[in-house]
Amino acid sequence: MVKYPEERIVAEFERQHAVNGTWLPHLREKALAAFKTSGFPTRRQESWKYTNIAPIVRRSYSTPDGGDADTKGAPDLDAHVLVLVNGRLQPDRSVLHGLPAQITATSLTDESHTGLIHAHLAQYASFAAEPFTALNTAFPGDGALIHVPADSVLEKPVHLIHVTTSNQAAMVQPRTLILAGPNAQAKIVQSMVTHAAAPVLINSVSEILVGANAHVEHLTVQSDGPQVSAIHHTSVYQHQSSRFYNGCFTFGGELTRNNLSILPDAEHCETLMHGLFVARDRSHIDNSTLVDHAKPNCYSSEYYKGILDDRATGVFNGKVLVRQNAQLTNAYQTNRSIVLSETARMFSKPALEIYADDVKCSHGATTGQLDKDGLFYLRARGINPEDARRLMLISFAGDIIEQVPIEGMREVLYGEVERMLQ
Amino acid sequence: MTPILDIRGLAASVDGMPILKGIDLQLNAGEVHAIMGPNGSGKSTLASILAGREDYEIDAGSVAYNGEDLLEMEVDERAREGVFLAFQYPVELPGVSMMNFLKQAVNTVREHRGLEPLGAGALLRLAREKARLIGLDPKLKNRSVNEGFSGGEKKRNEIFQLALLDPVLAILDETDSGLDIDALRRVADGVNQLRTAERTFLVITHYQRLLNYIVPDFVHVMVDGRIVRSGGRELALDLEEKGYDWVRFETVG
Ligand SMILES: Nc1ncnc2c1ncn2[C@@H]1O[C@H](COP(=O)(O)OP(=O)(O)OP(=O)(O)O)[C@@H](O)[C@H]1O
Ligand SMILES: [Mg+2]
Repeated sequence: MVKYPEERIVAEFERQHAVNGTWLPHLREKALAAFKTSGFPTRRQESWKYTNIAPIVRRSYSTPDGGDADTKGAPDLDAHVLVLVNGRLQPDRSVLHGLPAQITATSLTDESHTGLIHAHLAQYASFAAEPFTALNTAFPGDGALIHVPADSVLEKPVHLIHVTTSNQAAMVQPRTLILAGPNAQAKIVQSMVTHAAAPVLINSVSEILVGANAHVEHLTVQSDGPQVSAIHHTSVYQHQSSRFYNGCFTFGGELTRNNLSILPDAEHCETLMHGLFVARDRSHIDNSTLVDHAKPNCYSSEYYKGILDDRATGVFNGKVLVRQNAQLTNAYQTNRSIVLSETARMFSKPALEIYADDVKCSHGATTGQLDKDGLFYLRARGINPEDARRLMLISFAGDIIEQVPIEGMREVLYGEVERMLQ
Repeated sequence: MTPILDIRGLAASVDGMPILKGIDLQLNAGEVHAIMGPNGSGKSTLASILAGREDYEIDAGSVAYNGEDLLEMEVDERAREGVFLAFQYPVELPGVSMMNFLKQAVNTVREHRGLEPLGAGALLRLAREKARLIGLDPKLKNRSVNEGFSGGEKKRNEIFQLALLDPVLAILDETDSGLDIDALRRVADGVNQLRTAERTFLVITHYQRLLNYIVPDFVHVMVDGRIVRSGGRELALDLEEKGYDWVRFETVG
């Protein structure tokens, strides 16, 4: 009998998760029901038009839980480190001494924080219309909770290292909840490290609450070989006068989908969405973003860039929604891509949907090759074509990297770009 | 003595449209040659072909550089071998920092000449010294290459790179246009200090004024893709006085 991928994956998770079946049963049941109803998205849906996940979800995966933590390959940052292996927190591998007492970095199953978790988990990342989020909510790893309460300032970043490790094809579902109270300040880096010879599918969900006047800077870095596919979903909820920066960096992988959904739901919010990817070989990298301006007087600026070579494909689906009463919104969106080969392709769909009349919004998308005159100029100074090309591509990427507000990360990201361009 | 640059019967076209129609020019080591000529006569085309731009079809003729076939060499190879073009329109490279660019260029050329690469400190000192020579604002070193530079700053930046890269053959394409009088004198002084018994210059200009400062050994007049007249520096003065129609008439007559 042929089993649909949905049934097979659910059965595999159910077998695995029997152990902690008592954790948030109602929420998980609802999410499972939603997933069973919707099934995996298909290309018939507008938001998945250019990304075909069928070959990825058709594989049969084991669902490892925990395992050995080898964080090799993760950026070495001056940070509080939280290590999760196959979605499960590894307290003995984490480095949390020095974390101010009022700040929490723990697992989502930590019973001393049940109240907080129940109040916030799955409140921002709606699973009704997002099958991958539903699946993650039905069977999350024990995940990570970071709570920076009101008026607290986290000087050093918290670095979440998500390690995926398996000898056989595996699917893992990391889950992260980041709560920043009023006036709090926090920097969070999430990096993905994979040690696997067989195909791996990472389906991660992060929810971020940014309290009134709080400043949160959040960075995700994925840099993987062709055996790794990932669906990352990040949902952000912003309170009054808060500031949020999101940096999304993807290097390589088989198929990556980065969903970013931000709701500045009060006045005077500031939202920066930056992204960069480098795709080679047959990599497919899709950035789909939504900023939903629901209230007046907010500012958002989105800037995504991509470099594509070989037979890689890239997708940018960026939606800026300005609702009717969101007057005096300033929203800017830019997507630029460089396509280095005849066989690489970029699909860019910036979309402004504006229902308010007194707003300043702009968007632009360009996809092109490296500037020929620029290359000629560099070569006319003796620089060989490879170095000239690299110099130009690194400066193209540098536009995004230079604005990363986390110490130590800019060097790491330049290194990743260099490595990808070799 | 082999000339540094030996151009014979060079004809070139773009999309089937002839631009250079048979150029003969010999430049010996240490000489300064000026090319003058009306707009659109092909001066920049000649400079671009010498630097290696690929937009042009070579229809006839040859170019030997130090006895080697220049037209067979790659753009970057020519530069490493000592051919330097100061662009009429320098290209802006947003995001490419001046220092990264200079480091890459200087060290690539040095490596080619069997010299040790310069470290960051040594390069900075050298850059400071050469910037002073040309009168280039040292703060420009902290910017992206040519991005947002004023017209004059771009031109100075070209001569600054010339000074850093120490070429055998320097081609200056209208370096004087866009420079104010003081800047012109300053840049010309810089160029004069870079004149040596070995280094050869090909200076393209519309104005006699530049040639008051950078005194050429030879002046050539290019009209419609041909060198129609060659002479000493006094030719530039005659041109200034009588205009190009004078040579056009003479040629036709
Ligand atoms: N890449 C090109 N494509 C098409 N036409 C070209 C190209 N390069 C040069 N030309 C044409 O060739 C002619 C000579 O141009 P060139 O730039 O060499 O003139 P010039 O003598 O340098 O003029 P100016 O004094 O105005 O700088 C012009 O008519 C120009 O339009
Ligand atoms: Mg010209």
